[in-house]
Amino acid sequence: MTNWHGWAGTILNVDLTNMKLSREPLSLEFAKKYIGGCGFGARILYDEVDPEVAPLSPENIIVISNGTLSGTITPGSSRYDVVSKSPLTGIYVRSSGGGFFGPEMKLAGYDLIIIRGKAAKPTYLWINDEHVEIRDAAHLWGKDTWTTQRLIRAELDDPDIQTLKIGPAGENMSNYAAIIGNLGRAASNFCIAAVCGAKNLKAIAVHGNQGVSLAKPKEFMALCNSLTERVKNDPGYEKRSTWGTLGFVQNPENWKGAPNPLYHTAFTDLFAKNIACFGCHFHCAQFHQVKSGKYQGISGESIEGGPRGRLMRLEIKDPGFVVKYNNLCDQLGVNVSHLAEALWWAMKRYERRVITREDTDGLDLTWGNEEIILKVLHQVAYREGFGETLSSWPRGVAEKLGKGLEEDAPHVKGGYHYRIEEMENIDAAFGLSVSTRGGDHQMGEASRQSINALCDMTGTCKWAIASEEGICLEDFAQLLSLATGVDFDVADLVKATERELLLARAFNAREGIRRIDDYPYPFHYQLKYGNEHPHYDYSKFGFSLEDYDKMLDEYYRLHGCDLTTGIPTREKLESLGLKDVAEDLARRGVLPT
Amino acid sequence: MRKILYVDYDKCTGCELCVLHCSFQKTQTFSRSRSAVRVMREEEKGICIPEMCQHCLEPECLLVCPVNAISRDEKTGIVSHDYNLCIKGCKLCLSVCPYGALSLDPVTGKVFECNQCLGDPVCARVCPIEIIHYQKAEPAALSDKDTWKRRLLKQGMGKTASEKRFASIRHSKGDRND
Repeated sequence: MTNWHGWAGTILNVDLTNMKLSREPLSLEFAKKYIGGCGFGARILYDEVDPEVAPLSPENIIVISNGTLSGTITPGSSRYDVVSKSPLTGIYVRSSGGGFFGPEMKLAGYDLIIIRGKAAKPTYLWINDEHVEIRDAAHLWGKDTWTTQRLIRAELDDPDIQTLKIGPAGENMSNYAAIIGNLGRAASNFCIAAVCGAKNLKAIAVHGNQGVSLAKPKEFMALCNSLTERVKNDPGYEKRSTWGTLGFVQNPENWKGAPNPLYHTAFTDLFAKNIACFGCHFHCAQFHQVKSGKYQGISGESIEGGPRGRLMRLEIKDPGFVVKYNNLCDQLGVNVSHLAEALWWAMKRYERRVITREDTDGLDLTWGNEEIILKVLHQVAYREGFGETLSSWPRGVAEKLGKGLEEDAPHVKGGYHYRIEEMENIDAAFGLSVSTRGGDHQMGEASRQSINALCDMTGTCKWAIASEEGICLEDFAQLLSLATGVDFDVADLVKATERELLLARAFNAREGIRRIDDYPYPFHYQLKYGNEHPHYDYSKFGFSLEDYDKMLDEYYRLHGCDLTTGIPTREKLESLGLKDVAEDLARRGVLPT
Repeated sequence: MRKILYVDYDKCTGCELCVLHCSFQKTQTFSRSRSAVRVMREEEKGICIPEMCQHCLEPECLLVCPVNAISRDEKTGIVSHDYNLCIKGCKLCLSVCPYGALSLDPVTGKVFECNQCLGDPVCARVCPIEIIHYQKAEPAALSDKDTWKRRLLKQGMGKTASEKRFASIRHSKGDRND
């Protein structure tokens, strides 16, 4: 067997239908070509999940793919990717999570866990190095994520176990479901947790006793130390590491003319200490303790800027409530941001009387109504009442409510287009719209797509490396070469990120995604229905449809996609060593001619 | 002169860089179980406590070792294992350590010992928030063992520290093989 460095070298295959487990060596060719993380995931998903496969059927798979540098001391390298076909969007999804699970999985000796089939009853997976076991989870089913973790650690009598688990939301296959690592390190976007629920997989527990070995340990260590210094010497380091994403909002001082109630300074009284993911000097999460007010006595960690900003839009003024909401979402396994956006959409329409009490099952969706927010949170997790109505948000919710099409929530490929106000900024709107998993900024502006994909491949945190000088492609090439012993240069890395991008685009093309789906929502609507969306003032956008078209053409040319359809061309696919993908697309009549 | 590693753990972020650097120093790999430092945590309370050998004045491990493989250097205060004598796997020293600070190397089956990196402990050097102090054992700090125990008990963890450590290594390879 090859002596692996960087990569752990083993794939774990889990067949839940037949309750069979098998370990399989990673192929070095495969590893070189796709690097790791979402790179591995995109390839495996493309090969195994056909367009005929429904996301919640046993034929769909979940790929948990470790970052290549995960478990080392590369700044911010604690992450893994989960890849599947999303029940929300019906297309490719990669969702990344931090905390301790990825590194622990690496220490147990696995780069990939591939979950197939469906278990007959609730189960969880226990991985302890080469010992792997599918265990009964009847006693965990229905429990919240925090209790689940506690029970698993007690049952296996090991406090060092790291877990990924779903809460009631995942069990009920809610579209808001999130996979939770530790207490609140979620891989939540586009509800892969619902796929876990459909497979009757409650949790994955892992404890590894091995070490991550490196090809050139001394040089690797020296490089990591210098990169850490670089990130730490950044002028923004102190604020970014202390307050994380909480410290960043667009209008820090004012919110609707009044002092911003949830600016990070509002959390000063709650701040107990910083909390870090594994091996990260950045410690950007905070542990909060609510010392007074309605939510006194509650404590919790990792409140991000996103949900905070979204709750602010719901006119929430009490930071204590943010802690409460965040904890409850983590416990029930609900996506904090997705739900807050859905609530904003619903409250806005409630205010305009498009939605009435009849639609909401009697809920009074007024701004800032904390109790109602918590009630809806329960309802979406258990899919009851108005929560069930909201399950088809953003795409198709208007139809479900019997309202006009224009009342649908803005979306891109079925994922919420949440920065619609940023229609003044073409770069942001563009990155969000061409994102292969649907409306979402994590794939980055067009200019950062390569580096962001590389972060997800290597398991590196985008927040921790994004300093002024940052960690760039050259650094990644060096890190990967020293860690794995395989010579990577920048061109190899760019090619690998293009492979991930084009595999995802090819996967989506098979699912029927075309050029029209790469537009921001207002333009998508216009192109689809032939008239402008009545809710938007197109003259106020920072760019026109023509500007956008030009940029999209250029993007397609750059990545070798057909201008009319947006589907990768044979020429480009073959140049990346993806001839089989081109053949597959041709066989299905999707390949551009 | 005796020096000790003092951890102001109220601020510890739980990043485990001390763990990783320690394991790298000793094994050239990054590992949680092959390290002389371990972080014990109560996530829901936000508590993280890095634990390493305290080089006690009256080490209980030294007292219980059936083959007298553990000794204490009177000059430096360092407590160390003689692996030629160690019978590898009896784990008595692990079970009596009040901090659960000792661990078993899953690869070699030996006890991981902290030798304070011969005077320049890497854990203290790399801590991003500088809460691990390598300092002189002043008369006040000499009762560190006591302070630790009291602190742990205050957090409701003192009684179970070594039990927890023991439980965690039960799943390590070194243990299963013996």
